Amino acid sequence: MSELLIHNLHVDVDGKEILKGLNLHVKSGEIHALMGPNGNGKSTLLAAVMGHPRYHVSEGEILLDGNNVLDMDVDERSRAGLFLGMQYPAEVPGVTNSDFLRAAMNAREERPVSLYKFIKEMEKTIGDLQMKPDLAHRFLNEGFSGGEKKRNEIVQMKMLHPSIAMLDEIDSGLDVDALKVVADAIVDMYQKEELGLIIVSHYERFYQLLNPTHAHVLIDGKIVMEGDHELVSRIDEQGYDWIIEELGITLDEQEEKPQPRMSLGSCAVKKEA
Amino acid sequence: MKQLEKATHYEFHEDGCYHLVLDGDCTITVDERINVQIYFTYDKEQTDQRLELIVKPEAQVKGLFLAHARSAGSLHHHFRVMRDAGLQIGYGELQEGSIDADIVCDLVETGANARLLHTCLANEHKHFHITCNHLKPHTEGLMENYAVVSEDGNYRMEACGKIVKGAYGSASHQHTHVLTMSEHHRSEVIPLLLIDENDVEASHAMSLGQPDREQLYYLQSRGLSHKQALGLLMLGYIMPLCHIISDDDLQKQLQELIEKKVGLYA
Repeated sequence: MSELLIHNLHVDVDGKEILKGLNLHVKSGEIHALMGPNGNGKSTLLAAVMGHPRYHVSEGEILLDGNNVLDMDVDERSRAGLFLGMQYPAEVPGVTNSDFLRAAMNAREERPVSLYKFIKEMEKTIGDLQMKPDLAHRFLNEGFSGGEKKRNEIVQMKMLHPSIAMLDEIDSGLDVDALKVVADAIVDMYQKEELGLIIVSHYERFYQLLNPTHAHVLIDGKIVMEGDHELVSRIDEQGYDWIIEELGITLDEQEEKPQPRMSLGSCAVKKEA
Repeated sequence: MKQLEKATHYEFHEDGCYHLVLDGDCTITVDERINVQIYFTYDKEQTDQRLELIVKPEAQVKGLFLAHARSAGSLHHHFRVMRDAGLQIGYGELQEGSIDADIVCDLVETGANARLLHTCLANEHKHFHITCNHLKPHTEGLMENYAVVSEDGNYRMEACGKIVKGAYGSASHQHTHVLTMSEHHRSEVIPLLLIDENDVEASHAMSLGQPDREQLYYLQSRGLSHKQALGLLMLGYIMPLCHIISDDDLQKQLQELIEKKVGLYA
């Protein structure tokens, strides 16, 4: 049983405060949908928890199973059980997926994992994600399509067995079939390993497949509303404007304002001159 | 892999995979239509090594040079590739010690082709001058150079592709990539293309810089320490060497050596 506790978190990037006192509590066996308009701090939160050097925590605390995450280096956070599936994973030419993953697995084992066991596990995981068998020998994320990069993030998650995983728009770039494959892989791991999950996505279809136990709306650097999958559905239908109005939130002038909702129908209508 | 006894002259008349320990000057001839792979090692601490390798028409040669002990000195290697013959050479300068190397590859007859792969862990004085001369039409040359320059390293790579007048239809390509691990180093890359013919292809590419922060963050976010993440990035620069010779045992041995050298599992 793991738990991630985030209390009064303030984070700034290049001198600009993005998170302004955020609280979140995630436990094993829970799926948290983290929603909110673009530019309000969702990716910042995940990057700050993982320890990206560009994100500066000025106040607050992050505890994983009672241990102070902010005292840990990035690699220590990973080995402690945190995982971040990134929106834009880095490409690393010259380093094969298999060399990388074997090194990552060895980094958390006292003895190096046997080559046979590693190959078997990697082949199975690649198969589960319905990726091409040559994935292991390709350079890490180099030349991957958007969908392949996202699926490769899930391959890594499955092989590194974190206790709390954060997935940042892992569904973007996936077609309908791939979305189902990825969601199935996440749910399978969630059920078998009692994984705790924080999922950032803009699409209800993905959340429908994952069936989140909790939902949070992050606006202007704070969690402003919490609920369950019904909140996800309402946001999908009505957007965020009603939350902003209902709670009387005033966004900073320089803050990127949420885009008004627009149906495809109005976009596609040809206006007569 | 067949171990050959030390000699000053070798002639290959049969296909095969050979291990040859270099000890002083040496000439090698690979006969027509012969396909050989040669693993060259030199163990001496002081080297002033001269080698001439002739690849006769339609022969295919793959060669891998690796110094096992700390060595200092100079290398003078001269390759001559004849009609429709192919040469692939890999250098692994992974040992400590200073070196000055002069490597010349002459594509002597029509249809000759060569790939020269050079990898280097530069912790001291490591200077290389590689030339690929296209002397006849329809010859192809590729020079690939990878180096990791550490604290106090002094790396210099001058790579020259030369296409003479009359060597039409030839292609000369080269790229050099240098990863610098410290601000206290000297790295110099000089790509040269000397072209005296119009109907040819030629290109050069070069990168030189410190490890990418986003790449390091990504690797560390999967549990690798800073040192291991750097080691993995270094591995990417040196690992192409492993694939020159298709001998499973040698490839495994080489991979372990490289992983140890870059400090991956230290």
